[in-house]
Amino acid sequence: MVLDLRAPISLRGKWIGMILLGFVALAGIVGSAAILMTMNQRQMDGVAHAYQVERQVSAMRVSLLRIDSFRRKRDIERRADELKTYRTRLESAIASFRTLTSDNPRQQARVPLLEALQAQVLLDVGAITKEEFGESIRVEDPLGMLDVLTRAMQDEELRLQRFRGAEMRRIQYGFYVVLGAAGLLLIVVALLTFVSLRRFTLDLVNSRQALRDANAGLELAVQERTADLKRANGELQRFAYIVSHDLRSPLVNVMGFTSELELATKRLGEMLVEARRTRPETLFPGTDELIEQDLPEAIHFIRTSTQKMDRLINAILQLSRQGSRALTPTWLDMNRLLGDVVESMKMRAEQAGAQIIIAPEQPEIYCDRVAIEQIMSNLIENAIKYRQPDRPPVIRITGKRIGSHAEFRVADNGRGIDPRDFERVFDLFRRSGAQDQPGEGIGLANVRAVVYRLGGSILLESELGVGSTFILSIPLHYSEEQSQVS
Amino acid sequence: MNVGPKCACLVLAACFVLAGCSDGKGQDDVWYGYYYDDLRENAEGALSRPYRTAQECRIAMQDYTMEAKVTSGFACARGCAPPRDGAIANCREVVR
Repeated sequence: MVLDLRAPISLRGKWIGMILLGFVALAGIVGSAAILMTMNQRQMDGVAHAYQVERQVSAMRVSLLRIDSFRRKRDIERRADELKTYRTRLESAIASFRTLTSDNPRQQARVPLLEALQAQVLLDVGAITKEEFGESIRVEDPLGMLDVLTRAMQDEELRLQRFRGAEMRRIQYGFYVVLGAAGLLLIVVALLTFVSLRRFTLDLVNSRQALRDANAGLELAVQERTADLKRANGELQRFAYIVSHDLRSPLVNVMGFTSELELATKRLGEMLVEARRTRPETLFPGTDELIEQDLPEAIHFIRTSTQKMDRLINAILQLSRQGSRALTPTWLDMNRLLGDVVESMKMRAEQAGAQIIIAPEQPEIYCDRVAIEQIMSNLIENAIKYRQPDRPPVIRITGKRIGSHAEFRVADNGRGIDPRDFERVFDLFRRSGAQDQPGEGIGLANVRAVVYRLGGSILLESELGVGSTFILSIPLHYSEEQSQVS
Repeated sequence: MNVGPKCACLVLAACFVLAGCSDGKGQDDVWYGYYYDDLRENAEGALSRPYRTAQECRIAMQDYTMEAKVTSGFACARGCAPPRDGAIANCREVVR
């Protein structure tokens, strides 16, 4: 099954883009709403301002009417304080009007006329003198004109109020439109979010299912491959066994007849000595050399070659037998097991002057005793065998639990292995460094085969002239499923 | 994804237009004279030509209204919004 993850990603980008766009639009609407609110506030302030102006105009009218009443009653002297109060109010109202309408050219244009009419009324009631009145304009009916003028001023403010009220309604309408748009957008964004979330969830579920299917398929494929490999390996083992066994029979014959040849050569040698002593004239020239040198030399070559071949065949047989041997796992006290292994090699260790140190508290494992003994013996034996000539071997064996595995390290101070040979040393019939020690290169190959069979692994760390460390990782609990191709 | 910012800008512009942000306030630095023939009424005033300073506007308007009747008047202003329903308000500055 093929997982197509690209299409959902591009689709996701589009959806996210649309949602982001929705949020940007929402932000724009919120900003617009804020602006509309500010504008509305401005219009409200304008309406309040117009009311304030209207109030001042009313105050002006009242004050003027009051002041005019003094002219009719002619009791200015008696009510001087009252007149003064109204005059002050009038002046204050006109000043406020002037200030409040400072943004309105028409109302401002009325101020001079207003002030002139005020002065004329005050002159008429005797509140100011003719000198104070000065060159101001005069009209026939100042109160009448004031009445008309202030009504026009009030009308102007009312008109502004109406206009601003209409503006406010327009803004409110705009606000509702924006609010509606925001609501619609919210619904759209919510729908988009929902749809995209649903789609992502479906994608995720589908991907997970596809992954699960792929894993199941993979597991099945691994099982099939493992079975195939086991079958092939079994066939190889059988083939190796048969081949080595069948090769051995003619080899034994060759070795037997070589012994015969050896005996015959020995007899020929004796006959040659006798002939040389009794009838030397019967000997052909070169017979001595043939019998005493060439024949023994040829036989020696045959013997060494057949012996080597015998060792190699034995090694193959041993490996094939190892693969077919049934493992019998049991709980192993590794301190004890390692002690036994070291004890069995005591003689060789003493001869080499080696010191073998087993760290305490080795982890207990459930595994095949023979296999572990074989691995440890091989590694310790190698450490003794390939020592650095100028120092006695020191071998340290440590162990610890790492997760579901036990890790054992066999470290020595031997001659070390070239990093280029790290893989090669585990191959069958391959050796590293100087070939000054007996061996066929089957020890580590055998070790790796056994480790694999136990479901473990083996690594090598080494430095030439310093020493080597073999790191062995073995499952704490052996199970046949964990076992690699056996 | 590259259409996103463009669309966002369009939406924002539309929102601002909707909110009335595109309304202009007129030419703020130009003065106009507003002349009212009868201040007792709220009839629309006459608008003068533009002046660079308030002083120029005022002198021109004073000359113009020298012989005018008592109920007439004027004012110079700048930064006013366009008249709505004959009313002019919210000027940035008004002088007489």
